[in-house]
Amino acid sequence: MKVFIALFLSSGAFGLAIAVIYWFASREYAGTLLLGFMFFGLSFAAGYAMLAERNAEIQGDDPERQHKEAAGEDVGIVTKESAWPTALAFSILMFFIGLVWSDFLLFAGLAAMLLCLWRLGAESARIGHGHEKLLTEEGSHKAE
Amino acid sequence: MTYWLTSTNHKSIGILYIMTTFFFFIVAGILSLFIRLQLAHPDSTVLNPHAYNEVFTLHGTAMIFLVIAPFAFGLGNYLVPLQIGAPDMIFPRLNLLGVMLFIISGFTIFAGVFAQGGAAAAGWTGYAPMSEYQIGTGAGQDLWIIGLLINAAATIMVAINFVATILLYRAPGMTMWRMPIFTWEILATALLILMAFPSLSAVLFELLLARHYGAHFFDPQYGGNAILYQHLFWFFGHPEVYVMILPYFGVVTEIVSVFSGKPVFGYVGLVLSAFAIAGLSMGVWAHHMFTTGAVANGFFSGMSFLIAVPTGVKFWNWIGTMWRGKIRLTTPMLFTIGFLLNFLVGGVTGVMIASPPIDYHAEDSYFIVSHFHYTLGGGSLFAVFAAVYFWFPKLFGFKLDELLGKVSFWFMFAGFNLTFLPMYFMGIEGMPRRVYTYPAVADLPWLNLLASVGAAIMAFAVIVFFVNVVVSKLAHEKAADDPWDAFTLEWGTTSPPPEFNFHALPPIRSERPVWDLHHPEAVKVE
Repeated sequence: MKVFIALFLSSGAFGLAIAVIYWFASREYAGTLLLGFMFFGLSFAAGYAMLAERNAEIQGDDPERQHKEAAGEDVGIVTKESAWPTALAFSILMFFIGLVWSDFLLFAGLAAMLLCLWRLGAESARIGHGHEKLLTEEGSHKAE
Repeated sequence: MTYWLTSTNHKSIGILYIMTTFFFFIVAGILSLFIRLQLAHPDSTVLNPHAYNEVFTLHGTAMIFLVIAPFAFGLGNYLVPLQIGAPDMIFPRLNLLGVMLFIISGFTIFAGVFAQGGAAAAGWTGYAPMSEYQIGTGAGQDLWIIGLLINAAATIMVAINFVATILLYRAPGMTMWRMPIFTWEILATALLILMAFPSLSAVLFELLLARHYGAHFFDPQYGGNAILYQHLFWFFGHPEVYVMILPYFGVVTEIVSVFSGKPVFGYVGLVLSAFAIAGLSMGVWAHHMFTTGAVANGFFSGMSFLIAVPTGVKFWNWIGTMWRGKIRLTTPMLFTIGFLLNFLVGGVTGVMIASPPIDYHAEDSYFIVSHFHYTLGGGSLFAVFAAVYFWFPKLFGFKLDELLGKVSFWFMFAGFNLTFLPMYFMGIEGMPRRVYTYPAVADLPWLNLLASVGAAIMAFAVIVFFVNVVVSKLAHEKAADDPWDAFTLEWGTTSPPPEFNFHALPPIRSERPVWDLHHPEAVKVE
């Protein structure tokens, strides 16, 4: 995590530095603003990572920890299949087509997007249903 | 079919990306043959002017947004979880959404072919005001904008997934400084996407509003800014060049190292140079706008020169890795060496046009066309084939034929250079890009004919590749888990890997855990 924070911070600082130099070199708004966003976005991510690190234990960060020592621990829920992302993708297409050519498609696309997002949220909230597998460190399926 | 539409497994999603990119590669390749057929002789009539505009617009758009960049996302999707010892990408549903949006974006862009007024015809850059008003650019241009908006969203999603997966999902012992260089390059690419792609989304949305809702972002008559489009587009566009090259730097590094039988020379240097390139690439966008006379040429020229330094570091590291190694000239290694030679030519001419006085002469000429094809065609595309030959056994469980692979390489290398080297000279003689014909003056006729012959040879090389896939599939020589005596974790599982990647992970004590496992006599514990 420390490597990651350092990367974000140094990249953000670089963005700020070139934003300042660029402004004095060009007095141009669009580019300065975009570089400013780069600085802000990366600094925000670094700040968030610094705050999150208090509670986060990332097993990959420990050079001494090995796989066998962690055997039996859960590494999380791994989704196997879901139809909703594909449905959401087509809803997004419908929305954009509607934006240009048809109010009906625009609102139908929006409604379909909301439905898909709702179903995706519900699917994520459910743990251990038939479409997901809980993994252990050894890759065996603890629950299906 | 249902499996491909619903599976959230990173390997099936990776293969879906790769298959889709190869489909669009064939389409874009056929379009490029039409371009070369039209330009083989002066005053040809194979394509009319508007059809020519459509063809080069779709060729460029497809190669950039549907082939070279997304092939890397597919490869990354397949390899990153394997290389860091994870069971999948961290957001599998987001991953499926990303690949579906990517596929939809490609077909949306090409749907313009059937629209009234034809497909998009304003070039892959879609400059306003050409693309802004509905004069000569009909529904096809709208479908192009919608397709790219969806493509940008898909790309941002895949980038978020890469960053979170690499940050949070590494196996025990897989510290950041033990990650394979390919994974590092994917991380740098993902960060670059997150910084650059929102600008593309913004400018495309503005374009849509200008075309259909009466907005005037780019029209000075109504208080807009004439070059705002170019600023926003290139703020995305130049980093996009590095989105299309950084992952392939990773591919090349892995292959050079394995087939030289040595660890990479200068691991830390390779990682830091990737991030230096990514950072610097955010500050060079307006070198595409030198000739507008409305940008700070000195600033952008200086930044562009600077970017050659970390790129040079990478070349130094690759040569250092090969130096005194036991080099095996397999097909992936040949394509990699081809990459190094071609990319060098593209890179050096890139340094030339980073200088405004040279750029003023070369701008919008075939010199530029040749330059970017040497970096993205001779560079990235050769690395695509290197990657395919290298990781094919892992993905599909059987190897591609080496002899046919080498035949394909030599034809592609010869064809590529025959096509694009003459273009530098055409550019110097003043031949403008994006023009459907040219007069029979100076050396232009025979240089163009030479380029068209080269394109045909490249097409033959691609056909040999597909023949190779079929022949090898029929022979089905089962691949070993680690057929190349390679280093990284993906070679420590079966070919192809099981559903959740590993039955058992090898200990991770260095950046070459599989080599450590297979060569216990030589292991030096960190």
